[in-house]
Amino acid sequence: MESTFLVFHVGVYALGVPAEELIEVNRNLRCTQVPGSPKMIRGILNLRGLLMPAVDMGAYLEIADSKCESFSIILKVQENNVALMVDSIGDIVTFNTAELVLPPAHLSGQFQEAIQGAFRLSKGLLIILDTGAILRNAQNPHGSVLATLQPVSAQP
Amino acid sequence: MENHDEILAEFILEAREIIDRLDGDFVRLEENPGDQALVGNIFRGLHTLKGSSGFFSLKRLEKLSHAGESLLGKIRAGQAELDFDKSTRLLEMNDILRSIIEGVETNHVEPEGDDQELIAVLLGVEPGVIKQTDQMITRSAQNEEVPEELSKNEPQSLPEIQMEYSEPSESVTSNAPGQEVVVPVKVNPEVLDKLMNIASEMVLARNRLLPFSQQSTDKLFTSAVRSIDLLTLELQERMMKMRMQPIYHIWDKFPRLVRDVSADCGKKVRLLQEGSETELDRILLDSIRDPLIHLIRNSIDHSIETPEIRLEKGKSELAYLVLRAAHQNGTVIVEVIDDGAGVDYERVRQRAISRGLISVEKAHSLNHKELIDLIFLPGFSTRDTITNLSGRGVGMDVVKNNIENIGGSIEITSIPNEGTHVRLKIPLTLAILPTLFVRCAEEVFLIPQNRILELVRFAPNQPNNGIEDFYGTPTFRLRDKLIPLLFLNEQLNLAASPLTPKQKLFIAVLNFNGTLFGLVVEEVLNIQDIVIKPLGELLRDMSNFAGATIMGNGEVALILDIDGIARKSGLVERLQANPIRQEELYVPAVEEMISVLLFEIPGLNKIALPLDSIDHIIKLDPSQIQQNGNREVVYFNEQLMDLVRLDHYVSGGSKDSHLHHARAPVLTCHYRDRLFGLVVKQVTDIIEVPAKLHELSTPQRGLNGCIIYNDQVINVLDLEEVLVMHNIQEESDEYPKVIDLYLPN
Repeated sequence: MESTFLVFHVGVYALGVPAEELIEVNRNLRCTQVPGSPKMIRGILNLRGLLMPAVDMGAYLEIADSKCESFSIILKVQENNVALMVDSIGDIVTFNTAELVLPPAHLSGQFQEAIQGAFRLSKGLLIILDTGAILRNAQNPHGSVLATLQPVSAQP
Repeated sequence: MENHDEILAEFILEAREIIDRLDGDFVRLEENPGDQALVGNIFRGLHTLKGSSGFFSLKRLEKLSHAGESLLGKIRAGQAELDFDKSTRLLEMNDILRSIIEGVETNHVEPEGDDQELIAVLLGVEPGVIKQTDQMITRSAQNEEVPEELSKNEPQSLPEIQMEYSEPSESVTSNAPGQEVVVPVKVNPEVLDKLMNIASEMVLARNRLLPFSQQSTDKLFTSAVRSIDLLTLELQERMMKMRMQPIYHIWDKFPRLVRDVSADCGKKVRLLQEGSETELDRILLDSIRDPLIHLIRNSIDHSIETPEIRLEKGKSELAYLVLRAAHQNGTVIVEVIDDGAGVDYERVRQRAISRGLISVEKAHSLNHKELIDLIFLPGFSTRDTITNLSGRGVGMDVVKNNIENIGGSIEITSIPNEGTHVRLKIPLTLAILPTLFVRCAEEVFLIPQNRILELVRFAPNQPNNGIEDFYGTPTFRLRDKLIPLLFLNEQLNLAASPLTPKQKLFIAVLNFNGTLFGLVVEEVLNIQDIVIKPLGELLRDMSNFAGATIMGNGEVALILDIDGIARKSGLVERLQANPIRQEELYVPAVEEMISVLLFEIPGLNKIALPLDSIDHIIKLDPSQIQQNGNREVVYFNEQLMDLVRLDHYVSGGSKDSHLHHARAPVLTCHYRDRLFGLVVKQVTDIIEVPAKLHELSTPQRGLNGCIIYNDQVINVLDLEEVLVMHNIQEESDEYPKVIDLYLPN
C-alpha cells in the first residue's frame, strides 16, 4: 500500500509525517509563551482563529543542533490541531508501506514511542514519526515545572 | 434504509419536543381544567404522536398515545373531568412515551413493556376488555376522526411552531387558515458555535484591516473597507442574538417538576412564572438549569410547609412559588421566591455547631446574613433525614459553585414564616468576557474583570510601601485589612523586570472562596471585551490559565485562572495555619450613598433628615393647629399628630414666633408608633450624600453630626433626641441634663 509523507528537517535528520494529517505549512507565525508549560511546547499560536500548541521538534526529539524557528507544519491529529516547529521543509514523498523499517528495539522509551519506522533514502534514512505520540507526550509534561509541583487539592 | 433512518431521527426529535411540551401542558391543564385551547393542544400533540408512530409501526407508542388521546377527547367533550388521579396517569403515560422514544433512539426498536393496565385506566375500561379492542384501535387509528376545527390545519410542523411561540393561544392563531407558516430550521448547536467563532474572528480580521484603510488615500479601497466594517458589525450582532434563547426553554419543565415534588412532599404549591421570555445565552441557560431545579426542590422540601401547618399559621393552604427573570444592567436576574417558612436560622446555627463548622461562641454572634452564608458551605444540610429530594449534602455549595463558574452570583434572603428569596445574577453571555489586561515580565495577561474587587497602586521600593511580613507571607495593609500578596511573575516562574526605585506596581485585589488576596502585576493596561477560547487538549493541565484569546493584532494572550493560581500557591493552606483576620464580608471601597431631605428651620438653613425616616411633606394652615395642654396638635389622617417646632430643640435655631402664624411645611414621621409633625421653614431639596457622618467635636443639641456635600456642611438632625426632648416637655429651652429614653406609649 502506498502512503505519502511530508518530509522536513530538524538538525541533520530528515523526518516525515503522514501527508493526510497535514493542513498547511506556514512561516514565521508568532506564538505566545505559556509559562509553566512543558519544555517542548514553544507556546500557543493563532491560525485564523484556531488556537493550537506549537511543539518545538528539536526539544521533543532532543536534537541538539536545531533552531526550529521559522517553519511550522500544521497538522490535525485525532481532532487536535498541533503545529510542529521545524528547521526546514522538504518534499512530499510516496513510499510503499511494506518498505518501512521498524525502529531498533534498543531505542530508549520516548523514542521507541515517537518513531514509527524509517524508509531508506538514496542518502540516509527518512524517519517517520508517530504523530499520536507527539500529542501524548505533549500532554505528559517532560521535565516541566508542573511535574515537580504537586497540585494542591481544593479546600476540604 | 438510510432515508428511513433520517426520517426516524426527525420523528424522534419531534416526539421529544411534543412529550416535553405535554409535561407542562398537563400540569397547566390541571390548574385550569376549563382551558379548551390547552385541551386542544394536548389532543393535537398526542394525535401527531399517534399518527407518526403508526407510520413507523411503533405499536406500543401508538396504543398508549391513542389511549391518552381518547381520554383527552372525552375531557374535551365534557364526558370526563380531569382530576388529580387522571393527570397523574397522563403524566405517567408521558413518562412511558418518553422512555419508549429513548429506547427507539438507541436501539431502533421499541422497548418491551406492558402498558395494558395504564391504557385500561386511561380508556376507563377493565383491563380484560383491552384485548378485544386492540385491533379496533389500530384500525380506527388510521381513519380516526379528528374534529373539524383541528383537522383543517394540521401540518406535521405544528409542534415546532409552538416551540417558537410559547403561548398556546398564540400557536392557535398562528395557524389560522390562509396564514403562511414558516417552518423554523433546526441547526446543530456545534454549527452555531463554529459560526460564532468565525464571526468573532471576522471582527478581529476587520480590526487589522482598519488601520490600513485609515492610511490609504484610495477611495475605492476605503469604501470597501467601510462596508466590510459595517457588515462585520451586523454579523456579530446577529450571531450574538442567535445564541440567545428565552429562559422558558428550561422553565417549561418546571411545572411538572413542581407538581411531582410537591406531591411527593404532600404539599400544595402553585408555580408562577414571570418574565419567561427573558433571553440568555444558550450555554448559560444549560448551566443554570440544574441549580434552578435544586433551588426549586429546596424551596418545596425545606421552606414550604404542609397544608395543615400553613393553615395553622394563618396562611393560605396553597403555597406560592414564584420564578422570575428580568434583565438588569447587562445581567439577568433570576429569582426563586416562596412564601413558606423560610430559613430556620436557629437550626442552621445548631447544625453549624454540631458539624464543627464554627465554634459555639462564634455561632451565637452571627447575624442572619452570616448564617445564610453558612448554608453555602460544603456538606451543610439542616435536614436530619435524607429524603429522596434533598438533604444529601450535595447542596447549596454546588449551586453556588455552578453559578459562580459562569460568572454569576447568588444571594439568599429569608424572613422566618414569610418565605425565602433566592436571587441569581447571571451574565448575559459567556462567550464575551470583559477582562483587564495586565503586564507582567514583558508579557500580557488577562484577568476576568468580574473577579477584581479593586486595584491598588503601591511603590514596593519605598520605605512605607504598606507591605508587611506575616509568617513569611507578604501582606498588604489595605484600610485596616491585611491582604496576602502573590506576585504574578513568581507564580508563573517568570523573571521579574528590574524595578526602578520609584516604580509603582499594581495589586489586583481578588477573591478566592471568600479569602481576599492581592495579585501583584507590573502594569495595568486596559479593559476590553474578549472572546474566550480553550487552550486545547495539549495544555489542559495548565492550572494557571483559564483559556486564551486573540487580541486585535492577532497575537494570543492568556487568561489567568485566578482560582488555579490561588490554589496552586498554597496561599489558602498558609492562611489556615495562621489566619489573618479579614472582615467576614468584604465591603468594596465604594462610598455608600443615602438620600436625604434638605430643609431650613429658622436660624439654620442646611438641615437634613434621611428620606426614609419621613412619611409625608404637608403644608399646614395655622388654623388647623389645635391645642392639647401646652402641646400643639393637628388632626391628620384620622390620627392626632404632635407638632414639633424644630427650632426649639436644635442648637443654632432661633425661635421665630411669627412663623407660628404662617403656612408652614410639616414633615410627618413615625417614632415609636406615634405620629409627629416636624415644623420647618422651607423644604429645599432631596440630595444623595455619602452616608459617612462626621461627628461633631462638641455634641450639638438636636444634631447627629454633619455631612460634607459639595464642600458644604449639612447638619443631620438627630430625630430621636429631638423627639425625646419634645416628650420630656422641657419648659425651658435648656439642654436637659439627663435624657431618659423612656417614652410613654
